[in-house]
This record gives sequence, C-alpha cells and structure tokens, in this order.
Amino acid sequence: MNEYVQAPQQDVVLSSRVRLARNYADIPFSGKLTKDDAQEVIRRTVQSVSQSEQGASFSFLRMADLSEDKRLEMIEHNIISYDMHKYAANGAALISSGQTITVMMNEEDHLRIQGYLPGLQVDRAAELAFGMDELFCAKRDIAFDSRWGFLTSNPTNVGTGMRASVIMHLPALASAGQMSAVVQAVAKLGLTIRGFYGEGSEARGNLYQLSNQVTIGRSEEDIFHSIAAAAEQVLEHERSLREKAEKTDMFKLQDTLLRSYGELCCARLMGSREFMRRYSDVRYAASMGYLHAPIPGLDALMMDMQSGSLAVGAGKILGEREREILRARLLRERLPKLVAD
Amino acid sequence: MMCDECGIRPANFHLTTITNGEKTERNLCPVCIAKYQKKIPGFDFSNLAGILSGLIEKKQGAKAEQADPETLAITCTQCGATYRDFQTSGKLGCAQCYKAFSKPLENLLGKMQGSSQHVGRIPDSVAGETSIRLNIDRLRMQLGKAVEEEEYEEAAQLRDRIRALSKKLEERAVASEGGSEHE
Repeated sequence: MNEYVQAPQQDVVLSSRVRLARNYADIPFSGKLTKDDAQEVIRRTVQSVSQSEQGASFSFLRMADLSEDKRLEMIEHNIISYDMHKYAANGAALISSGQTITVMMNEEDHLRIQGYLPGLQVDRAAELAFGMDELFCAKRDIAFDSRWGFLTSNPTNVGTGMRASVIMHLPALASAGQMSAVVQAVAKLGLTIRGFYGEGSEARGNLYQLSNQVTIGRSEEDIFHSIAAAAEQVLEHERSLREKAEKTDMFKLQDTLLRSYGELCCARLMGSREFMRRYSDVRYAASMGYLHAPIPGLDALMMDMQSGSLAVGAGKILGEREREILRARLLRERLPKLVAD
Repeated sequence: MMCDECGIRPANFHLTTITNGEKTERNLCPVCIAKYQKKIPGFDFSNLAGILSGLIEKKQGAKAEQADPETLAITCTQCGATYRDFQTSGKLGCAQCYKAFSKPLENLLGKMQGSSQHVGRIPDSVAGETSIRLNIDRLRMQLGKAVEEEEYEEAAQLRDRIRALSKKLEERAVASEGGSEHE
C-alpha cells in the first residue's frame, strides 16, 4: 500500500541538504538591487536552466504570485529557504520535478542552488547542487575571485559559498541530557548543531540541524565530508542510547512511545507543540520496530501537519483553533493508514 | 606574467605565504603550484590558509575590533557602499566591494573563519583549462588520501570525477585545435 523507500540512516537522519550561494558579477547584490536588476537575475538564470538538458523538468515560480501560506508550505517541505519569505517581492524559484533541486533567485544572494535528499546523503545532495552550479559557472558572469572564492552578499558565506546540513532526530541523546556535549564536540570541527524547529535552545520534535560554520579556507569536499563524518558519529551515539533505553526497561519505553501513537490517533484537538512531541515518540517507536510504519511516511506527515501546509490543504486561512481541529482530524485519518498490522 | 618558479609557463595563480610574520607573494603556474602542494608531505594543503591565518590572529592578539574612522569611510567606487554601511547591514553592495574593503575584510574573515583564502572549487569559465587541471590535482590529492584511508567507495567516485574532467580537457584540446582558443 505504501510506496515509501527507506533512505540511508533514516532511522536518525531525516534529510541532507547542500546550498550554494552565487552572484552575478555585474549586478549589485541584494542590498542594492533594483527591480530591474532582480528581473535581469531571473532572466539570465531561467535562460541558463531552460537551455540545459534538464531544463524541461524545472518549473518556475515567482514568490509574489504565491499566497503567504503557499510559500510557508514550500518552506515547511524544505523546497525553498526560510528567507524567501523576506525576499518575496523579487524572489523566484526554479524547482526540479522531483523537488530535489531548487534554484532560488533574488534571495540574500542572486542565486541559492539547493540539492536536497532524504536520509544521510550529503555527498549526493552536493552532486545535485554542483551539477546545477556548473550550468551557471560555465558562463563568465559569476562573481568569483581567486583569493576570496565565490563572492557573496554576506561575507560569512564567501569562499565556497556552501552550507551543507543534515536534519537529525535525536530523542535519546536529548532525553539523556547529552546535547550540550554534542554541541561542543561538533564545534571543534567547525560545525554547529541547533534545534531545527523552535526558537533559542528549543528543539521541537527533537529535530536538530547539523551544518558547517566555515565557508572559506576549506574545500567543499572537506566540508561535506566532515558533516557526514560528524553525523555518523552522532547517529551511532543516538542508536546506542536507544538500545540502552530498551535494555533498561523495554516495556516502559514501548509504553511511553506508543501512548503517543494513541494520542495522535484519538485526539480531537492537536496543537503544534504537542504534535511535534508525539511525532518524535512515534518516529522513535517506528525506528525500534515497535510500530510498523514507514519512517519517510511519518516525516512526510509531519511536514503536512505544519501550519502553512494545513492552510494550503484547507484552501483558506486558518485560525489557531481551526488548525488544531484540522490537524487532529487529518492525523486520525492518515496515521492509522501508515501503520501496517 | 611568467611563473616565478619555472619562468617558462604563464602564472595564473597567486600564492601568499606568511612565515614568522613575513609575507612572501609569488605568482605561479599550475604545474609549479601543484608541485608546491606535493612538497609538504602529509600536510593537508586545504587547511594551509586556515593554519596561516590562525598564526596571524595570534600575533594580532585579542584586541577588540573597532574599525577606525578611516576604514569606515572607505567607499566602493562601483556601488557607492561604504565600510560603515557594511558594518551596519552586514551586507556588501556588489562584487567590487571585496576589492574596495579587502584589508578590513581580510581581518574580519581571519577572525571569523580562520581564513581568508579560498581553496575550493574554481569555476571552469574563470581560468578554463588551468582551473580544470587544478581541480584534477585537487581531486588526485583527495584520491590519494581516500586510498590511504581505505575508503574505496569514495576513491572510486573520485576516480570517476577525475576521468570526467580529463575527458573535458581532451575535448577542449580537440575543440581548440581548429580554432585558436587560448587562456
């Protein structure tokens, strides 16, 4: 019934992403960009992509043509960056049919090229992004300097212009109070880890994003290999803590996690904060084999239950309470179908 | 400009090294710069810039970075942005700003990222053949490292990429035989 394919290390890693920042050398950066400049960025970019072999598989969207909820839905599904909201007036995107490649235009930089894949596949996500990058770099108009590398609007991205990241589900590490040790360990590698949803030190759904801090002075491969290596280390740690929790008291662990499944299947009102907590438990349960649900299916469901996606599904702007009712109803319909008996 | 090392090939690369606080700048050709990389056994060239700027930073000490009025007034002739604008917004105005503000930016990036020298990819269009060759050299070094660490899957991928780039070089050579494309 379900056609979900498990990606590498998906019990712990939700997805891998590589983003490249590029600018046209002769057009002012985002801070000084005029409407005409923005139009020229779009014209050149669309032309490069549409003339390429894979051009036909991309669809073009102007942010200004989309409702706020529609943009939010795309952000929630990791198709475009969060900042596209801020740059909605001039922003546009080319999105590949499988949604694994996105070329964002007129964000903080003229171009943000994104490769995105489920599970731990940083190297393949990088391949996707670099494949696209070659299209633009084949022409002579990309801002590059042999000393500074790829020139970016914000110098914190200069050099490779690359941000590689993985989203990890770390419930066992979090409940064992070991996240601060993880933060310190990855910092030594020039990497950073923080909650993916939520503000400050909060990490809703126990979801964390591991990414590189350094963009200059290291090669691209060096950077994404260190991300992948650090992710492997963290996931081994997470797995061993999950096993330990099971060995300590399996019934207690099963009881805690599966009660959340019950809540999600029966609730009539489901707030976003509670939902993320329950989703984390259900995902944990599925990874341990306590619940026969495909993990990619759970992740897809989680993204669909975010506020922008709910509003797009409902076809109207929703209030807080309407959202809670709708979220609970959709969960009752969809979650049991994911679980095989 | 010819290569400072061999004097026979044109220099496409600029190498800056800092030893005991003394800066030496040299212009090298792709062949000589590749030799230079191999001369340092077991040394990861990709981190050279990082290590060097780490040394500079130590020398400078931990003085709080408050740009002087002269620096703040530097203006980019291309877009009109001043260094003060950059300090306020955190954003540069255009590609030329990197040239205009190169000194203060060098300091800033050295502190923030431990380096201000790019060691990664070079777009094919920038130096054509030279950049492909340099990319091949870089991948070969990684291949050596991968084999040493018995990462055979990675080594195979690197080998494929080297082959693809070598093929590109050959194609360029064939294409330019008829015409007169020269970098």
